Amino acid sequence: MKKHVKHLHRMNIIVAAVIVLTVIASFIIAGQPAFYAEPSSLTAIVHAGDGQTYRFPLDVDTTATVNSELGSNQFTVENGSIRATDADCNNHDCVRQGRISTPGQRIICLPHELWVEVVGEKKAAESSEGGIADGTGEEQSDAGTQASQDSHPDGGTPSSDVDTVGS
Amino acid sequence: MDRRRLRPPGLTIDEARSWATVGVFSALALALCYVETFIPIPVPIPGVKPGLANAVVLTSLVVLDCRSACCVAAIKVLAIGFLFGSPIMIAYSAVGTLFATLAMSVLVKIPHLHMVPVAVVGAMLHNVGQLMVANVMLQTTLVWMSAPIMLVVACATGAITGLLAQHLVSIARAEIG
Repeated sequence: MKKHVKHLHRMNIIVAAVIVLTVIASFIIAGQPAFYAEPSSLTAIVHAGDGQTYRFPLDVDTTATVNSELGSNQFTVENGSIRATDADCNNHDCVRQGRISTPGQRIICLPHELWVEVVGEKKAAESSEGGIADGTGEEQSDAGTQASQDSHPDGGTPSSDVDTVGS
Repeated sequence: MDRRRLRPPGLTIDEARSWATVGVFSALALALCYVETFIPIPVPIPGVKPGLANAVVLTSLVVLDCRSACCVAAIKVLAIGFLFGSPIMIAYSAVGTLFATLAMSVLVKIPHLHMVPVAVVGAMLHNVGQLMVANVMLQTTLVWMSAPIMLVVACATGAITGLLAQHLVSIARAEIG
């Protein structure tokens, strides 16, 4: 065994060092959030219990209440993250789940059958198409929601992505 | 019977011998890939596997030449894909194997270099190639988030395949001469 170690050529150590450096570099590069998506392109999508979806771009600070027949949840967007700030349920689990700000993160509210996800821009377009399929049209979305400040319900139209919200 | 008459037209004995070896190595790659399906993986990441067939590609790079190794690699990708996998798996495997084979074919030329680092680099590039395909197919750069873990895993699996390849080379050298 020792003989092998003794006979390890310098070349092996060089290549091994390159391998180790590559792995370390990959950790550093892959750890950069900027590598994955523009922060401004992130959108929080609230899937309400009645099948409606509402989008909140994470770069626009706002507070909004999402209502469905199952109950209402209040969300606050600030500093590029969204969190539930209030809800009219018993357990307030959604509030306890804190803020989410990166794609894939979720807030789930069981009593109101509501969930929030953060998506990048590309997936936001896909989800909006899905919104047509299970959405229930504009009339109901107006009745179902009183968005408190400058957020409007998105009736599920793919074109009204970021422009509609906040107008 | 004259030995010459048995020879396929257009092939010298050496060429025929090397093609036969390619066939043996390809069969070995298929067998190893089948054996691999029985090995449980303790890491809960999809797509992580020892990649024992890569050892055969590396062996053919050392024992034969780059062209033969590419043949073994191509047979490995297509045959394993059709036997055990899906067209999607072939796409992932093809790019990964291409990267790995190219890198290893360069590295085996370096004198004094042990088989293990060669195999580790091959395994790492195999993973990088697969992540590239995943990036294109899934349309998201988020797949690169798993790159560091994949590279660490590749160091372990590459070491295993490197040691296996070393044994295979010594066996093959003894058998083929």
